[in-house]
Order: sequence, then structure tokens, then C-alpha cells
Amino acid sequence: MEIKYRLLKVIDTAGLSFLSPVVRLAAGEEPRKQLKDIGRWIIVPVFAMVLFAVLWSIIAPRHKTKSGEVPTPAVVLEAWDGISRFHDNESAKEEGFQLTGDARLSELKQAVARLSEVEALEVVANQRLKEVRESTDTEKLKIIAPFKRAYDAKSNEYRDYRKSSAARLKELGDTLLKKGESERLAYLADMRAVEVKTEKLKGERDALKVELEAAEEQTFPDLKEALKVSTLLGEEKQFLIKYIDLVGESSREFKLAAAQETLKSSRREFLTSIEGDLYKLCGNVIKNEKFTETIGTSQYAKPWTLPKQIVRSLFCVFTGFLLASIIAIPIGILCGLSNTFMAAMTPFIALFKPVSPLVWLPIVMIIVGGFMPDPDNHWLIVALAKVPILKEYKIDPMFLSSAITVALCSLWATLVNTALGVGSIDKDHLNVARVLRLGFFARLFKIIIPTALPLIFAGLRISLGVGWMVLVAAEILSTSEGIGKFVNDMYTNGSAESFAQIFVVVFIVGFIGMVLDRIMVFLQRLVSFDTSPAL
Amino acid sequence: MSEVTTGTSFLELDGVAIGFGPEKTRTDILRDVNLEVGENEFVAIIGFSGSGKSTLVSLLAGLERPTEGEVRMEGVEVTRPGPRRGVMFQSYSLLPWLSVFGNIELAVKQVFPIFSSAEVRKHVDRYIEMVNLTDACDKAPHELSGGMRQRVSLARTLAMQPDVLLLDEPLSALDALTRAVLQDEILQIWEKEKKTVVLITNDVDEAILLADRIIPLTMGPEATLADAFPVDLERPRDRRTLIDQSAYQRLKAEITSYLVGLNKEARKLRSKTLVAMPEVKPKDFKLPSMMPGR
Repeated sequence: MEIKYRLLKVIDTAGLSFLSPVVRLAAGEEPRKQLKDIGRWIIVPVFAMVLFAVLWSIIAPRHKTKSGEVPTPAVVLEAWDGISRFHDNESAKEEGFQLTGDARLSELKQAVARLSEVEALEVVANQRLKEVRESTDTEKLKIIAPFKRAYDAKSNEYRDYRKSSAARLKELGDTLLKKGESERLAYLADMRAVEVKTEKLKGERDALKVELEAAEEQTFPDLKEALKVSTLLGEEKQFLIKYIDLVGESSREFKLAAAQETLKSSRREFLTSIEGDLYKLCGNVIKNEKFTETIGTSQYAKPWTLPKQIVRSLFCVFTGFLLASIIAIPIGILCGLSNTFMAAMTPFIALFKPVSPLVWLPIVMIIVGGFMPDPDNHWLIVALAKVPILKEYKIDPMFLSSAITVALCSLWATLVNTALGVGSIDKDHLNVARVLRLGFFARLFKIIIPTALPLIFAGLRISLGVGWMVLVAAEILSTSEGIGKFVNDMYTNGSAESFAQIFVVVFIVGFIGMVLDRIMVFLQRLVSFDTSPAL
Repeated sequence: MSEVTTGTSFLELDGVAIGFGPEKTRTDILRDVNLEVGENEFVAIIGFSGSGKSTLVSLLAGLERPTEGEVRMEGVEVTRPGPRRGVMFQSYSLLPWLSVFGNIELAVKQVFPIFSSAEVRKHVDRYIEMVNLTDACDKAPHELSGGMRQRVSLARTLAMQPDVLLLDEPLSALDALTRAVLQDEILQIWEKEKKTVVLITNDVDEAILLADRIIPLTMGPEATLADAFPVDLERPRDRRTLIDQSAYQRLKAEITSYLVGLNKEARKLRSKTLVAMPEVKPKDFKLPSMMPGR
């Protein structure tokens, strides 16, 4: 029982109230009521999601785009696989490059073994693909044939009719010169009728053409499957070839050994040589020493993968969020304390709050650029590049611009809520403070801020949500590495696969936003002193 | 104030008036209020709701300044609130994010800055025990009943060790049973600690049980203090035996009939100064078209 109540409390604080009927049911408490709650809060949402996926699968393929069909849930899942495969491969390359000694050699051996395996599989897969393609080609021809025949027949009919009618009318027209008005009018009616018939035949031909094209676009699951297997194997082969190179002759250890060998021989040459240009030989030694050092600290130039971009986006949004909080909370407190200050701030809040991030970003980029004419040597960038984890995420002016834009768009919610929280302080509490003769700071930290804390956190929660939405837009526009950059790259790429990968991003962004929101709800509940739910 | 039963006046109101609004059209809530409270005297001020009782407490505490006259304590004018005049508010006014202990600790730390943390702890614990809340020491105010909250408020006020206790209808938000229990507790504590107390109340029984002197407040606006009823019942008082005493019954009847008289007088006064309402009527009695017609 004790465990049950503790669990329920945790669930409640975390804002996962849909789990509480499960816990209660497990404890055997009012099973009918709990089952009803489970039905409503778990089964209905799941059913709604399934229904959504089904509708999506049906509707999406009907719309053709430049980047192929709108991806179905299955295609999006495949795209997710593609994204994670790319990440895994690049991480493996990065690690492989740094391996040394036996570990490197065993890795190399395994990779070579796998490569021969893959090559064998690829041959089989390509063979199968060829067979399937041949068979589907004939099948396709069979399916298409009636459509094609109908189309060709109609097309010929149209062409023949047009030609023959034109010839007939031309001939008739020549004889008309000597005829009177009534004949000429009859000729006009004749030509009109021919025109109508031609149009009709053309319409019929076009309709048949559409049918034919639809038939041609018919896809064959077998062919798709074979193509996929073959592509995947090809991809893995490419990866293995590169990997073997990175673990083998291009590995750091291998290159370092070679460099050290060169260094040694150049030293020997310089120390023992009895003829030649010693100045040049000595210079060679220095050059080789430097080169060896460079090799020793070199890294595999890993491209940005989505997980790394997500982490950078998170860093960016939290930098902006922190900035917004540092600005908004003190100003909000001042606004709440002093009506005069509030009056002074009101026009700014009203004016700047609705401004879109897309307007702030260019301004911020130009201003930040003005502060950092030579970003690589600016003290802030240099300082940030020394922070242990942050340095791997290439903190550049674009990152700062995006973060500042996030701050500019998200600080208003915190500011207004803080002012409201401070302003709504209970008069009785202030009277207590007056009777106790609390000083300004004691009053601020012991009475005012604790009162306002739940509302401050409500504001912070909104700010973080706004910030996360703004960030992706800012990244797309600033091409600062991150989720937004990924979306932009995929959009520019324009292939069917990258189109599906944008859909993956929708779910990733949504999921992260949801988690951030839950975290803020949790914090908000921790600081709330009353029992009212903070939803 | 003809009868001042105890020696020198400790807390006094001298010709005090307070009003709100601009000077020319000011309506006085209290006018010409004179009160002298002796040291260690228990005075109850009784009146109808809305007659300005809470304003009177605010004046005594120094939370508000009178527009005329002076509030003095030991002959010195009161210009601002301070811990020497401890106020117990009707609405408990406990800080909801602090525990019972934390609420009292905040006051103790502020009033006795020289205390070491162990001394603070001891001091707080002593007052929590005095109001029988030791078990609820770490609870938050929202986890307590109204009676328990008011006890915390009492402990906090007492822990400040004020020279004067100002109790602003401390028990009027509680149910009758809890109120009786708390009245007994206040009585016991007062008899032990002997402090100057001004109790604001609307309960005649409560006033008779606790006070040395009961002063009715006339109906507002422009309320003032009427002549006091001395309570000569001997102490320690016990509510069970008290109600059977003829002196108690007589006093209760006297005060009640006085208060009822006040109410009638006020009504009469009000009917004389009845403000004529402007004759405004809506022109169109039809329902707006958007509402479903009947």
C-alpha cells in the first residue's frame, strides 16, 4: 500500500496521470472504474493514433510530388532507419580511425571478412534483382498492353480523322468559289461539326493516356523489395570499403607510424650526412616533427549526423532559454514591484512580443556579426571552444544568433508571468512582513519570490515551448547546424528519401518538445505549494 | 471612557479618525475614537461586521496611519508596524511554501537576530508545543485544518514575544467546536503569560469568556467606541460553570440588547439618509435576438 501511494505521488508529480489507473488496478482498487479509466486514457488515444496512421497510409500515396509520393508511415519508419544507419556508420568510422594495436587489427580482419560476405550477398541480390526486373518487365508489359492498344487505336483514329477531314474540307472548299451563300453556310456548319468531333476524339485519347500512365506507374512489391535489398547491400559495401581504409592504411596509428618512420630517417640523414645541404636537411626534420604531431592529434572528419544536430539544437535552445530567463525574471520582478516600471515596460512588451523570429534573426545576425568581425579569434568563441563538451558542437556566431533569437521570442511569457506572480502577492503576507519589519531583500526572497515562483515556472514552461518552436525556424534561416539545418538540407536534396526524413524530424521535434514540456511541468509542480494541478 | 480599571494606559487611541477618499469628500470609517488599554489588560472590542473593526486593528498595529488623532504606545506615537505589537490576522496569513516550523522560524529569526540556530529551534519548538502542534511541526499549511492553521498563526504571534497582542477576529472563520477549543487555549495561555491583549470579535460569549472589558463599536460609517462593559467575573474562568452564573447571563443580556439597539438605531439612521435612486429604466424589454426566445 505504501508503495502504491508513493508511486501515485510520483506519477502525479511527473504529470503522467494516465498511468495512475494502471497502478490502482494492479493494487486491486475498484477494478471496474480503473478499467474504464484505462479505456479512456490509454486505449482510446492508442486507437486514435492507429486510426491516424491508417488514414495517413491511405491518403498519402494519392498525392504525387516532385519528390515522389507523400511518404506513408512505413516509408517514414524506413527513413528513420536510414538516418540511424548513417549515424551508426559514421560513429563506427570515427572510432575505427582511432583504434590502435590488436584491437585495430582484429577490427580490420572482421571488416574484411564481412566485406567478402557482403560482396557475395550483393552478387546474389543483383542476380535476383535482374531476374525480378525481367519478370516484372514482362508482366508490366502484359498489364499495360490493353491500355496501350486502346490508346494507340484512339490516337490513330484521332490523327486519321483530323487528316482526312482536313483534306476533304480543303477539296470541298476549292469547289465552293462558284457556289452561292447557302452552300457556303452549309460548308461552315460542316467545318464546325468536324471541329467538335476532333475535340471529342482528342479528349478520349487524353483520358486513355492518363489510364495508360497510371498502369505504367504500377509498382511491384517484389521489385521494390529486391531493389531495397540490393541498395542496402551496396550501401554497406561502400561503408565497409571506407571503413577498411580507415581502420587500415588510413588509420591514425598507421599514418602515425609512417610519419614517425619518415621523421626518424630524416633525423638520421641530418645527423650522419657528410655532404649535401644541412640547412635543408635540418629544416626537413623540423617539418617532419610538426607533421607527426599533427597526425597524432588528427580526427576523422565526421559529418554532422542527426543525433549530433539534435544535441546542438538542444544546447542552442537552452542557451537562449537561459538568456531569456536571466533577462525576463529580474525585469518581471521589477514590473511586479513597481507600477511605474510596469508602465514604462508595457509599450515594449506590447510592441515586441508579436514580432516573428524571422524578423529578429537577420537583425541579430548582423549585430552579432558586427561584434565579431573575425569570429575565429573573438574571445567569446575562443572561450566557448575550450568548454569540454560544448567544443565538439562548433559554437559559432550563427549559434549565438539563433540562441539570441530564441531568447528574444521566448522571454515575454516569462516576463509577463513573473510580473503577474509578483503583482498578485497576498496583502496579508505583506502585512506580516511589515509587522516583522523585514528588509527589502528579506521581503523579496522570503515573501515575494516564493509567492511568484509557481507563476514564474508557468512562464518558463511557455518560454521553453516557444523557444523550441522558434529555434527550428531560426536554424533553417541561419543555416546554423542543427535540426533546422537538417530539414533545410533534406528540402534542398529533394529526393523521395529525404522527403520522408523531414517527416521523421516532425516526430523527433514533437517528441523532444513534449519531453521538455513534461520536465517543466514537473519542476512547476515541485515549486507549487498548493495542490491544484498545473496543467 | 469613564472607567479605566487598570492603572496607567499602555496603548491608547486619542481622538483618532480615519477615512478614505479625497480630503473634501472624505467618508470617515472611524471618527473620534478614544481608547485606553492598561498593561496586561484583556480588552475585547465587539461590533457588527463592516463597522470598521479590522481598520481599528490596523491602526493599533501601525499598518495604517490615522487621518486625525494619534495612536500611542507607552506614550510614544506609533508610526509604523513592528514586532512589539503582534497581530494575529483573521485569514491566518501563513506563508504556504513554508512548514509550520518554517513559518514560526521566519518570525523568530527576524525578531531575535541574536539567537543561535539552536536557540531559535528551542524557541520555536516551545511555542509549537504551547499550541499543541508538535506532531504537525513539518506539515505545510494546506495540509492543516482551519483550527490548526489559526493555532500556527497564534504560535507565530506569541513567539515574537510582543508587548501587545492584537487579535483580529481570529476565530470567526472556524466552526463552533474548534472555536470553543481555541478560546480555551487562548484563555489558558493568557492566564499563564499575562499580556496586553486587544481582541476584535463579533461573538458576545467569546468576549465575556476572555476579556476584562468589552467595548462595543457603533455601526459605521463614522463608527466610534461606546461605553465599556466591565467584566467582573472571577478568573480563572471555566465556560462550563460560567454560563450558569447569573452575572454572566445578565452581562450577556445587557450587551446583546445594547448591540441590537445599535443595529435598530443604525437602520433608522439609514432610512433617514436614504439616497434617492436615479430613475433609469431600459427602454426595450424584449430579449436580444441572439438569445433563444421563450
